[in-house]
Amino acid sequence: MAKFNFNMQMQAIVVGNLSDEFVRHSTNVLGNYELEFSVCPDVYQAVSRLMKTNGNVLIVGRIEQLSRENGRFFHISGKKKAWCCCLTETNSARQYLRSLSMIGTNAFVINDSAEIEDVLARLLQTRDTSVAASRGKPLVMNRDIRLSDDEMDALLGNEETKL
Amino acid sequence: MKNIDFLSDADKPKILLIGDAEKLFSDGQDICGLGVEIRSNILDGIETAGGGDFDLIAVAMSGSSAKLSSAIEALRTANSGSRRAKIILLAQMYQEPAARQLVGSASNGGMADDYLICPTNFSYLVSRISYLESRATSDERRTTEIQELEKLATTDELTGLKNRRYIWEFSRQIIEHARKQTGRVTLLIFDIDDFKHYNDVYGHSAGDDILRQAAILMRHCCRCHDIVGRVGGDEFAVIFWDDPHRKPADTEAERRSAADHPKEAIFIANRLRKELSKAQFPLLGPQGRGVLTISGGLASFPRDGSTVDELFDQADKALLDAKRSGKNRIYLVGKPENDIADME
Repeated sequence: MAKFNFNMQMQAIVVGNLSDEFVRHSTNVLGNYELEFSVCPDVYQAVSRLMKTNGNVLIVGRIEQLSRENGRFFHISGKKKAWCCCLTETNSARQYLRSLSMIGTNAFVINDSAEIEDVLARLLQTRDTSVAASRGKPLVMNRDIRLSDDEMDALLGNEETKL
Repeated sequence: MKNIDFLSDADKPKILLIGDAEKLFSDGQDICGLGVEIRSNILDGIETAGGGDFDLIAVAMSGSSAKLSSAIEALRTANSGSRRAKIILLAQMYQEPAARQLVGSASNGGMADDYLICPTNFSYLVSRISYLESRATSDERRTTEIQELEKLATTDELTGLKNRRYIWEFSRQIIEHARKQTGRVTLLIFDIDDFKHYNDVYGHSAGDDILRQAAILMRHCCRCHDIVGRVGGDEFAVIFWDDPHRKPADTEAERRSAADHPKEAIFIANRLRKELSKAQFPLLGPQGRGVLTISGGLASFPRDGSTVDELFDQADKALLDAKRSGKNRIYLVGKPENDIADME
């Protein structure tokens, strides 16, 4: 497996309990990429951990966990210029859209835990840490329904574009 | 805000408040300009704690104990500057058991240093810093004095039950909480039948003894989270409310049943009446067993009233009806057959 090799060492914060399959899978993948990571049981501990970092952080977690406290976590991680990788497993289109609108910028949205590798590969490939941040909207990584920018704008209700 | 206004900026304690100042403090609108950092969301509070060196972090309690203990731990980790901030929980009265638990585990590390019942004065919150310092430096005399004063402010001296002020404020807070959570609150007001007669015939010490014994019996009959208080001479009140560990009503059926008088309250009120009528009161002499009776009125939120005043008014009316109908009974508000003895 290719090594993750940013110029500046990146850290990851995995939010959730180690009894969660997704958390275990994420830590395995991050370990394979030789990324420094820590596991926080919830968003409260994650914010505390985030405040001790100097940026260049990837946060991984389920949307249910990261969106607690009215999605305030995304606002704080955005200010720290951290990226979020959110797992949304919902089959409900309405809930999915709600998640997307809450996540905001600096985020990758995945629908399957295996897609976390796509996120890391993408970051590795471009070596461009602003890949998600510069878009101003979340990047949907779903292998089946990867969305174009126009489609994403329409989904999120931007008025200029229509799906 | 006299006690910190005169301090120079360098001497003023650095305070982070997480919550709604106006709801938490009776003088909340005066806090602006005192250099207090206010955050409404706990996550923003943790973020701010990470960037500042605070003397005191005051956190309004909301959510489960598990969430709170994790949030407090996060605040501690984030605010690991040169000063170790004191963490004070700001609790509503009905949150006091949970607050006590979170503070009680401070010796195990990581939890809160203290709690205050809200609404309170902001200046009182500030004065808690020196109280906590006196506790930390083992100034036991001062710590005990403060604890005694706090107890006196909320307790009826004769019976050891909660006093009228506490009962009133608790009712207000729990009704507000029940309104949001579609919960239920039932108020029982009762007095001892012909209490004046016992006082006049057997003397005031016998009267006091009756009140004290009745209080013990009442406390024994109620569930541990129900609030029992003495609100007048021989008048008592019990606030029955939903078990704090029970989850809010989800379904329409649950909400409808919440609007009716809770069966538990009727059951407990009946038990209280029966137990009291069987109890022995030595100062009343050999005939002291089974002579004491009570009359009471039960009113329930939201069925019989939506404010504290309405609920107390309604319960009082039911109590008067019970007296007029011959005493030794507890009536529900607005029921055609409203003697609860027939309802179990």
